[in-house]
Amino acid sequence: MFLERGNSVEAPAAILLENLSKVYDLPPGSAGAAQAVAADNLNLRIAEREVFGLVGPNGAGKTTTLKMICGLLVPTAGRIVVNGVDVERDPEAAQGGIGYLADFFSLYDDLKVWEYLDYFAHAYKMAPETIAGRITDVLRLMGLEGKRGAFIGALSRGMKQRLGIGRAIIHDPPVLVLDEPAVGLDPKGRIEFRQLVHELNGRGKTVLITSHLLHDLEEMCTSIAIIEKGRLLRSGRLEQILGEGVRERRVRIMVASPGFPLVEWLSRREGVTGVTGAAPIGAQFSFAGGPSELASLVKALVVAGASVYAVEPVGETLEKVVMGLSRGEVT
Amino acid sequence: MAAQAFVLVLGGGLLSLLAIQREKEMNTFDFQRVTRLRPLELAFGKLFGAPVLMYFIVLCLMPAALVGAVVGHARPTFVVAAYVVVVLGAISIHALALLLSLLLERGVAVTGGVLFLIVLWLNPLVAAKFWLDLGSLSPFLASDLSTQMTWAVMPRPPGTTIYMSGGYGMTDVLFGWPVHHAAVVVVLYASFAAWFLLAVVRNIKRDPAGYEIFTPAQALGFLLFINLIFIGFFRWSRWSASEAQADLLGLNTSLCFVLGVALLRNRDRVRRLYARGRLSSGWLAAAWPAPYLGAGTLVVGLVPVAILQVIGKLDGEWDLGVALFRVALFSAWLLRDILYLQWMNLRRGGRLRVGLLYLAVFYICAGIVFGTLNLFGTPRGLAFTAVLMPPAVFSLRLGAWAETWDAWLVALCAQILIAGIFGSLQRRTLADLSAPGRLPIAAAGAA
Repeated sequence: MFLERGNSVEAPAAILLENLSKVYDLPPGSAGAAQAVAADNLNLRIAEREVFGLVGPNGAGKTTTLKMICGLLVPTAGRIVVNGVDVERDPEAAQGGIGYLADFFSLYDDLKVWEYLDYFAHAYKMAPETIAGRITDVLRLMGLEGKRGAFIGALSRGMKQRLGIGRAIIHDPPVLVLDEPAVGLDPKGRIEFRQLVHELNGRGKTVLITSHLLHDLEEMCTSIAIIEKGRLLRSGRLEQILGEGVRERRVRIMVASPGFPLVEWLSRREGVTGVTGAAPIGAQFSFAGGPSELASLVKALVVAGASVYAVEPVGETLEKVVMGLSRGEVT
Repeated sequence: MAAQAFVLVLGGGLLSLLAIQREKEMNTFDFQRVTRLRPLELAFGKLFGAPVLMYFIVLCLMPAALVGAVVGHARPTFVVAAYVVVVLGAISIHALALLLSLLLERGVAVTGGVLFLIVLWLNPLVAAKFWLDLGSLSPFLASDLSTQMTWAVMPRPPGTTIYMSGGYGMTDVLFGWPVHHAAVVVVLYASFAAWFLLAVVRNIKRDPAGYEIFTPAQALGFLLFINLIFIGFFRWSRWSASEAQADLLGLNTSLCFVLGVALLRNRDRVRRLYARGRLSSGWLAAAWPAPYLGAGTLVVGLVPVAILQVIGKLDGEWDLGVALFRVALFSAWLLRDILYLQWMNLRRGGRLRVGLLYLAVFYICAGIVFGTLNLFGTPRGLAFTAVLMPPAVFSLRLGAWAETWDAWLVALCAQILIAGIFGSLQRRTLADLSAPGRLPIAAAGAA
């Protein structure tokens, strides 16, 4: 079912946060305020089949928000709906549709890999005749087929992380909640993890993920929300967030004409500001015009005698956007 | 049999004490909480899963025990009964240990649990046989049970101690009727296991900040259940009416106190209640948990008075007015202390533990000072001590009442006044908690 809003058609929400707040006390003797706000009137709508990144500094309230979504913590105020089920009213029904991975966790080292998955498959009340097949599927998806009979204690950190995700998806939940899942993974492990998230998303899962590795999130997520001190600073599609606030496009031009005064030439042009040199022979600048004006600029540059071999837009990174918002909106 | 009881009760109890604590430390407990397991299923899994090794050891020891029973010509029905007692007793202890494991920090849970298990082990030796016509409630009595030769129950002459004195079988006296002790412990174990399990089930999947052992109604039910046991097995024949009332109030003191502590609200809970508009900002909120605790203490205080009036075993010391005054002072005293603890628990940082410590220090110091001044030894001195230490009312005699009733009334008024002060402090703390800017924006209006 799709909801219509105006002329646009919206995918149904997998996760809905309405006026969500969580206030807790700071220990006596703490400097400053007596209480902290982990979630401050958060409103968030995560559509089905999204890979949604929740971004923020330490203590922003990410883990608390995730735990409230999973029904592990009770909000001070507000409502959470997952797959159409109110988490506070019917936590077991909501939890049946969620796969959760905590930021720091242990596994049962004395169990074998398949036993661990089998235990949780039963805990999620899967039909007994489907469990063996599902364990095989999950082990294949996680790349752990060869470790089926191995003791968990003998697995590497990356394998344990994958097994943790395997546990979270053993019951084939439509929503995955992953708290800092890439912590401790080596670069290869992170690449594999990103591929895994893409694959899970391709299978129709909604993935809510937190991470400090913003580059990873930028590669994985379709939408993000940035929170700080429990407050929602921005949320939306990734490309929209990255494009927001960019009134002037940033452009890089590379020429193959040694001796051509590129920086000076650009600085004299209308609509061009903030020109900086770029190695080996090139420049970066902000341009106020549209595509046709930029085309005219490039044409004029060629006419002026520069051999232009590259013209490319310079995009904002998630890191920059987060840093900018964080500095500007919360003190 | 003793070895099996030891392994199952103590070994299983220790494993149950660690069951949830260990999962919390490993950060694996949340993974179980988010599964589709219902709280009852999760609780049963822990109850029988944590001590499973001990059940296995008991099974391994069983052949040797059965050989011993045959060689010793033990009656098969008693051997079976002994196993029922051991297993049911162990289940009730394990359920309690699981509850401690869920609610308390590791160190506190383990220390308290181990002390409890030791007392339980020693229980046949130190059983309180003075007040109740009830034998040992320790599962270690199974060894005695397995050597019994008759199921017959025999009323014992008044004043004799329980079955361990020999010659009367394992007989308890319930509301004046002789009943076999094995049947009593089986029923009590099953009942206690059910109460403890109810508390575990209510909380095992909850947010730890929202733990609530029982609902107020369930807590009242538990208090009344324990009092049913007290009253049913009480040795009415051994004590005078006034002594019986004082003893029953004394037996109820710690029970009512624990009930009061179980009802306390913490800051997180109060915030949620305000945010959902379920808590008013008046004196009623500031008096929590006085309504439930007051009802509980009055019921457990007044029922024995009614029973004593009905059975008519009244002596020269008995006076209905004094009896009612004792109940009133008992209730006011507990309300005073619980309101103090409620206020402490609502202060920043939740200072319940500090509050309990202060309370213990206060009673010890007051006791030492009053004892040194020999105030407990004179009727007016005793009444004076009741202002700060109301348990003195348990020693109040009719003759002393006639001389010092005015001082006792002052003591009662003092309790009400002090309780009011703590209620007022609680009200201020609640006002601070619900002040604009303290609650979530959406909730502030609702509050």
